[in-house]
Amino acid sequence: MKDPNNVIIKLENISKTFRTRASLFKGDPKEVIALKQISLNIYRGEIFGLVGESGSGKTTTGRLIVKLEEPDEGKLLFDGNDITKIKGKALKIFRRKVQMIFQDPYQSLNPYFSVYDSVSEPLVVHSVGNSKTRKDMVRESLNSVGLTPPDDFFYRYPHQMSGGQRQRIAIARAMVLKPEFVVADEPTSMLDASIAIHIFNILSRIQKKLNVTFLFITHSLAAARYLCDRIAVIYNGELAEIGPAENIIQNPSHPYTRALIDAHPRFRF
Amino acid sequence: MALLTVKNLSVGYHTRKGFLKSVQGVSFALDQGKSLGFVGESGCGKTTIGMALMGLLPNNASVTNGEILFEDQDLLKMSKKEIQQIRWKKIAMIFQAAMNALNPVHRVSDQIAEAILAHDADISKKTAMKQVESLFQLVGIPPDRMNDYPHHYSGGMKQRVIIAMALACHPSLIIADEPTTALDVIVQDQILSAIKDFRNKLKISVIFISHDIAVVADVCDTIGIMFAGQLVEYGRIEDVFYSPMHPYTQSLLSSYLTLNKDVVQLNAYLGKTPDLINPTTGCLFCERCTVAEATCSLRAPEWVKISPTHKALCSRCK
Amino acid sequence: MVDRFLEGWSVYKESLIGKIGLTLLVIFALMALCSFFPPMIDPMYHPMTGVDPQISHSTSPSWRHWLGTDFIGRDILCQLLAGARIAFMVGISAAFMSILLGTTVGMIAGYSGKIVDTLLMRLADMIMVMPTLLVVLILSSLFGQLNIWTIVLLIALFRWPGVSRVIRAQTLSLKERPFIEAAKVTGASHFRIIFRHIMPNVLPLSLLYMTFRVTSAIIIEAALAFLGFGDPSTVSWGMMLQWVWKTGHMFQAPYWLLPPGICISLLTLSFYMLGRAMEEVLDPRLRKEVAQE
Repeated sequence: MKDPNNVIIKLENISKTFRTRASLFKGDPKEVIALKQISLNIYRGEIFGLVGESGSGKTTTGRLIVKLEEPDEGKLLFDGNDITKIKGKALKIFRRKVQMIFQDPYQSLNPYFSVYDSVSEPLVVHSVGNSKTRKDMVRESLNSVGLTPPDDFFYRYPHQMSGGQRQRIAIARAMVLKPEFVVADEPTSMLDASIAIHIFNILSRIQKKLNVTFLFITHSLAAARYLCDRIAVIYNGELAEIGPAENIIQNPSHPYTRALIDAHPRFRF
Repeated sequence: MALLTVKNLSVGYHTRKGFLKSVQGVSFALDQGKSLGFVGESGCGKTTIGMALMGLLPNNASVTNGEILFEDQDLLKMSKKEIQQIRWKKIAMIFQAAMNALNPVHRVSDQIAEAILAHDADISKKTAMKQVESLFQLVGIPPDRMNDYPHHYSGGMKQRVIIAMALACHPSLIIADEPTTALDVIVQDQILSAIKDFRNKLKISVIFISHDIAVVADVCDTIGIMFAGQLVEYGRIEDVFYSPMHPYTQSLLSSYLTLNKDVVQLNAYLGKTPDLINPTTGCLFCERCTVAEATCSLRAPEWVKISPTHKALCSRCK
Repeated sequence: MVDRFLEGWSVYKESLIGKIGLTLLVIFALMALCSFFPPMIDPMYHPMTGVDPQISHSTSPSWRHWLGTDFIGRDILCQLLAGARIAFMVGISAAFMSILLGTTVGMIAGYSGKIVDTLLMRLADMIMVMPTLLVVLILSSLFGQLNIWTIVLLIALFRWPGVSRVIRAQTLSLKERPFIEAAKVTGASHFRIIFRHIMPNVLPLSLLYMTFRVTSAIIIEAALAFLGFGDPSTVSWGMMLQWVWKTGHMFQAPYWLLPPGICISLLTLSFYMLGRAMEEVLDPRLRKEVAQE
C-alpha cells in the first residue's frame, strides 16, 4: 500500500516536444508537444495508473521516467534525488532500481536469446551473482510469473512461445533484480482479454510480495480500475485528473474523464 | 429465409508439421439485418471463418467439408470469377488494423471512389464521388476532409474510412474482423456506434469477430463462442450471457473488465491450446475444463439444446 | 538453437540450387582434404616440387598422371587438389576477415549515428570506389611479389565496405526495436548492446554476405595469380592458368588449361548457390511457429 511520506518518483513541470522531420508524404516539419508542464507524485508501494488515448503523452511519460528520453524542461526526481541529467555510473545504479515492461511481447525479447539469456541479462549487466546463483534467481523470477516448472523454459526461444508467455518472460526479466519501480507500458494491449486478466493478477501478486511500485500505463480505464490504487487521466499532454481509482470512476470531475467512462462498452448483463 | 447459412464448415491449413484443422464442423445461420458475433481466443478459428466466407483463404488452406449458402448459392462451389462478383458488392470485409492498408500517396476520396468504380464500371467518376460524399456522412467524417491524404487522419478516422469503403457497394453482409483492436476506447466507441448505425439504418447484416466479449455484446444479437476450431456455444446474446452453459463461455464471462460493476478479483485460468493437427477424440476443452468428467476425454460432446435459441456443445449440460 | 538449425536445414533442403551448391562444395572440400595425400604416397606427386623423373614436358592424361603433367613434368591433378585447398583458404579467410571488419564497422556506424556514422560511411565509400584488383596490382608492382597471406589481407581490406552498408542498414532498423530499448533500460553498455544484443541479429546476414565474398576473393586471387602477381610459392588455380599461358600451352594442352578454369567457375558458383539457398532460410517467414499457451 502507498506510503504518503515516501514519494518515489516525482515529476516537476516536465515538458517534452517532438520534432518531426520534413518528408515528401508528411509535409513540413511539425512540432508535437507531447507533455506540457506535467507534475506528478508517485508514492512508494502503490500501483499508479496513467490512462489516456494514443497521443496523449502517457507512453512518453513512462519513457521519460526510465530515461529512454530526456525532458526538454523540468525535473525528474527518484527517491528525492534529481536524476534529470544523470549519466554513467549514476545512471547504471538508477537502472538497477527502475525497470520497464514493454507493450509488444513479440518485439521486446531478443529473438536470439533463450529465456534464460533474456531473464538473466540484468544480472549479468549488473554483475550480480555467479552462474549458480543466477540460475536460482532466474528460477525464482519465472516461478513468480507462473512459468513452472521454470527449468523447462530455460532453453526455449521466444518464437516457440505464445504472446502471453512472452510477456510473462518480459515481466520476469524486469523483476529479476527486484527493482523498486517498474513502468508497465500497456502490457496487455497486444494480448487477448482473458490473458490480460492473468497478467494483471501476476502484477498484483508481485506488487504485494516485493512491495514494488508500478506505473501502469493504459488506454483502458476499466483495466486501471481493476489494478490500480490511484489513477491519473492524461489528455493532450496535460493531466486532466488525479485521484483514487474508485473516486475517479464514480465521481469524475473532468469532462474528458466522463467521455472515457461513457465510451467504455457497457455490459448490459 | 436466412441470408447466410453455413453448414458443417471445416477448414484446415497444410503446414510443415501436418494438416492443421483450424475450423471443424461449424454451422450457423444469419438473417438479413441481424448481427452475429464470434468470440474466442487467438487461434480458435474465427478469422478463418471470415476468410472462408470472403473466399480469401491463403494458398495453403483447404475447405475439407461444408457448404456456405449465401442467398441460396453455395459460395464454395463457385468459380473465382463468380466469387469476385459477390465479393465487395454483396459481402464486404473490414480487416484488423486495415487503416494501415490505405495508400499514402492517394487522396482518401480517390481510394474509395476507386473501390466503387472497380466493382461498377458503368457509373461515372462524378457519380462515384457523390457516393463517396454520402458515405462519409454515413460514417461521420466531415465531407470537407474528403480530399485529404491518409496521414492527415487519426487512427479512428482511418478505420472509419475503411468502413466507408466496405459500405461503398451496398453489400448485404459485412464481416468485421477485430475492427477495434489496437484502437483507444473512445475511438472504439465511435467505430462501434458507426457499425450499429449502418446496421440499423441500412439493414446490413454484420458478422463481428473479436476476442473481446464485451465489444461483441455491445453490437450483436447472436453470439457464437469458438474454441479450438469448434463452435462450443451458440445463441441469442441474452441467453448466452444470462445462462452460459459451456465451461469455456463461463470462464470468458468471468474475465472481462467493465466500469459498471463492482471490482471483483477475477480468476483467469490459462491452459494450453489443444493440438489441432492431431486432435483428441474426446472434448477438446477437457484439459482446461474445471468441471470435466471422466467420460469427457473419451467421447466427443454433442450439441445440447438448452432452448430454441440457445445450444451448447457439452456433455455435462443436459 | 539446435531445433532452429534443423528447421533451417529442412527449408534449405528443399531448394534445388542449395542442394547442388552444397554437393559441389562437399566435392571441392574433399578435393582440398585429399590434397595432402599424393605427396605422402610418392614425392613425385608434390604439386610444386614433384617432378616425374621420367617426364620433363607436358603430357596428356595417363594412368600414371590422371590429368597429365605440366611443362616440367608435375602432376596436374595434384596441383588441382592443392589449388582447391588454396582456394578454400584464401576464399574463406579473406571473406571471413572482410565480414569481421565490415560487420563491426557497420554495427558501430549504425548504432552510433551522427558523426561516427558519417565518417565511417564516407571511409567505406572511398574504399568501395577503388578497383581492388588494380590497387593490389599496383602495390605488388611496388613491393614485389606478395605473399599469399598479404593478398588475403588486402582483399579483406578492400571488400569490407559492401558488407558494412548492409549491416549498418540492419542495425539502424534494429536499434529502434523494443528488445534493444529493453537492453538499454536494463543498463547494458553500448558495447554490450552492439556485440551481445545486435550482433546475433545481424550475423545471419553477415554469413550470407560471406558466401558472396568468398566468390569474389577466389576470383581476385585467381586473377592476380594469372596476371603474375600471385605468390609464386603457392599452387593456386590462377597460378596454373598463368603457367599454361606463359609456357605457350594454351591451345596445345586442354587437359591442363580446362581443369583449373572449370574449378574456379564451379567453386564460385557453388558458394553463390549456397548463398542463394541460405537467403530463403533466413527469410522471416520462417519465424512463424504455432505456439502453445
